Amino acid sequence: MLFHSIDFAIFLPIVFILYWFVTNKNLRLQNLLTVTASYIFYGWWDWRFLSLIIFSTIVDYLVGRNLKNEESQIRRKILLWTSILVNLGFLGFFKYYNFFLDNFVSAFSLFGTEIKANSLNIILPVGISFYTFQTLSYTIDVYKRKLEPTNDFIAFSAFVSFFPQLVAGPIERATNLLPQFYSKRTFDHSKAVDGMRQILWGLFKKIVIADNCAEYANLIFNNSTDYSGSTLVLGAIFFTFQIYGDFSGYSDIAIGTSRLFGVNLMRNFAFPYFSRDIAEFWRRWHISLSTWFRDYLYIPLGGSHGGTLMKIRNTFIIFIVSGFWHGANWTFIVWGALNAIYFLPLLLTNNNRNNLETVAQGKLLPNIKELSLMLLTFGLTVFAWIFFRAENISHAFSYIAGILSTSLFEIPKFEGMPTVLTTIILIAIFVLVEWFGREGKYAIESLGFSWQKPLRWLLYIGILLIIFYAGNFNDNTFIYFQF
Amino acid sequence: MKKFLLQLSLFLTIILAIISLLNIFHSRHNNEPPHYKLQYTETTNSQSKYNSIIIGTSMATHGIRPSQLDTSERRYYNLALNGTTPDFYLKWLNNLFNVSHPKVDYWIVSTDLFFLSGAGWRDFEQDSEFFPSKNFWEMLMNNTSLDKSLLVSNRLPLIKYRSRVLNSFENHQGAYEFIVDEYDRGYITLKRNDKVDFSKDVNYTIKITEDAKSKYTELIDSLLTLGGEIIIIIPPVFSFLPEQYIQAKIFLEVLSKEKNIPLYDFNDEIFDDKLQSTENFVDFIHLSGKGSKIFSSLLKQRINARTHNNVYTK
Repeated sequence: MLFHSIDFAIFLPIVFILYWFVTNKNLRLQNLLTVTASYIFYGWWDWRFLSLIIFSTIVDYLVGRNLKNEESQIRRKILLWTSILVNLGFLGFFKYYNFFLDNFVSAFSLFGTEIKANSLNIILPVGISFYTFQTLSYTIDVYKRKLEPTNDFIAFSAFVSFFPQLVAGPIERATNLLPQFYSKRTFDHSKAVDGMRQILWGLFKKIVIADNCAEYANLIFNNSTDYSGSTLVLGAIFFTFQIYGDFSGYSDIAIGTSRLFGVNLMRNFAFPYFSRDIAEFWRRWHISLSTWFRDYLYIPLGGSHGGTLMKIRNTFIIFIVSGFWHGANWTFIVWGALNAIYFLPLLLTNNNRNNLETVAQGKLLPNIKELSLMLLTFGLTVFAWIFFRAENISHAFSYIAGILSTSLFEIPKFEGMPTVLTTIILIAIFVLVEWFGREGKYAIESLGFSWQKPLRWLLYIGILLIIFYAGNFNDNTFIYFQF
Repeated sequence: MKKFLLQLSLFLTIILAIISLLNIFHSRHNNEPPHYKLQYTETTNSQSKYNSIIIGTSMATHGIRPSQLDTSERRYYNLALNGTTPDFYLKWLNNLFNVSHPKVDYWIVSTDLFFLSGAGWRDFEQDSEFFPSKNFWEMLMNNTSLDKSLLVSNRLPLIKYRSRVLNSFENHQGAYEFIVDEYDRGYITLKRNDKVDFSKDVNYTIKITEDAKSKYTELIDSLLTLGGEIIIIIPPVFSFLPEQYIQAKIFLEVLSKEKNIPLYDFNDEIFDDKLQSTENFVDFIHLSGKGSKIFSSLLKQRINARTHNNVYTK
């Protein structure tokens, strides 16, 4: 079920009413409703794949229970690896089987050995990378004795399948989300209003910014050989805003929806395009995944401790694995490696934690240095996104070669030019609103707070009208569903 | 919770009021070509006095003037709509025309290569705004072959004309303009605001597919079962006859023989010199006001010749 669909517009109020008016007196019933609603939400796409979630839930619940009473270190390790193998086994099969097979065959053919292998026609279950990592975090935390394993199967199922964040995150930690299902949620008016506001902003990002940019980005990327260098740059910029609007929009709607149900999810985006260096960008982009890799991969590998070689190794591992998490394609691996190359100089010169606070905090505008750094970081990010968006490596290189030509200095031109100005104006408005709201959790969190209610409502109605009139309703799914 | 629900209800009520007002606004100001509504009024007119109907694409809408064809026995109405396909007319026949309109004695099926390729942009459901309520609800509740979401979304002017607000903001000037003053029972004169270079070669990528041919045959069969007389015409185009035209012509000739339906091609040499002038066309496929008068006159002569068993001569 898509957040910006009629189905969800009907589903959400029904679940909301049942949640607060029918099951509110009984915690287990409320959790059971959460699980049922989440399974319906997921099953709306394909009921068959619910079995994967249910199986993962049962395995991790049982592993957690057994870890509680198990003192033998060897047996504890076996239990941990059971969970890791089951979860990563599913992920590996559904997401990476054909990739490894094809590359295995290609590698052997380099040595003159021809292997005949049949690729499987595998459907990638929506959100498998997200819920797999979420359940893994539970098992690892229980194994490390950072978290008390749960005895409540319903609460655990609700944690694994909580519908607002099930298919595209934020990837929650068991330490944050699971305890929220242990106690009765009470309705909080200000939280709910805040949730609605965040949903509104998420819809704007998705329907107005991401989906309009997608039209142009798709057109230019899919026909990249036909266009001038300047048009290709424009295409890459459109994709940059598409992916941000799409993914952060989803996160906003997920977080806002959760707040309607009295559940707090972690923040996933913190205005990443205002970052002054790549290290800051990665502290602000897809925070739930970056911190997951930091805590469960980077730190166990030794993190930034140890010698230079170890730092370089660990940096490359975490970025490449992060890239590979996005999809079974070399483009994602190169995208990850490129980010590692961007990041390494900062790490090796101990400058990776320079910009921890919000840019130009308390000021209206950034200074020249801040602006230059932001533009440089933005430029590097746009360049890296070319690999992320390209169909394959050769497409990415031909796209870049197209940019680095004399036609880079021509006026951009493509079939969508007559309507592109509106989208550029909308992006400009979007960037301005994000800039002025950058100290909040999301851009319009405190916009118009000091205004009288009618004026504030006028603002929300204005946003709704922009969504309605300028939005793109061409059945666009969310990009991160494919991951 | 009570406060939240009250505020939410109030907000939604305001939104609903705004939606209603915008819906009224869009139903009145939408730049929709004026002939659609009038053509649909006639389509569902159970008291209609017109016993001869023209169907086809924009080439017929802007090419055939019904009043010029009238005789003492036949009164014509042009129900050809821009961008239609045989599939469109099958749905149109079954869900609207046959339900309301009196029996027709004579059908002119204007068949150009666009119509026969089935590549037209018009879905039957997207005209739901013009359907009488009774027919609309009947289709919505009982017809499983129609796209319900298209049917509903196009019923509301607010949703249907949503994108036109942005287009006017982007100052889109449409290439085409309709001359309302020359409206004539479904016919409307077409004008082009930009200059067309008639010396250029044109290349059409449309394909005459087996599926399109089979839908077309189905349409002709449906019209035959209604009992009226049918003629198929191929409307004139300017200067070129692409490969697709040849394919269409071959198919139509076979069909015409098989079903015993007369076929008149207005691109045949016999009609050429009267129409082949840039003054008679607004572009390569649409006739101008002047061209439509000549074409309608030629068509009438052709029909009369058949009616009176005369041999048509130049």
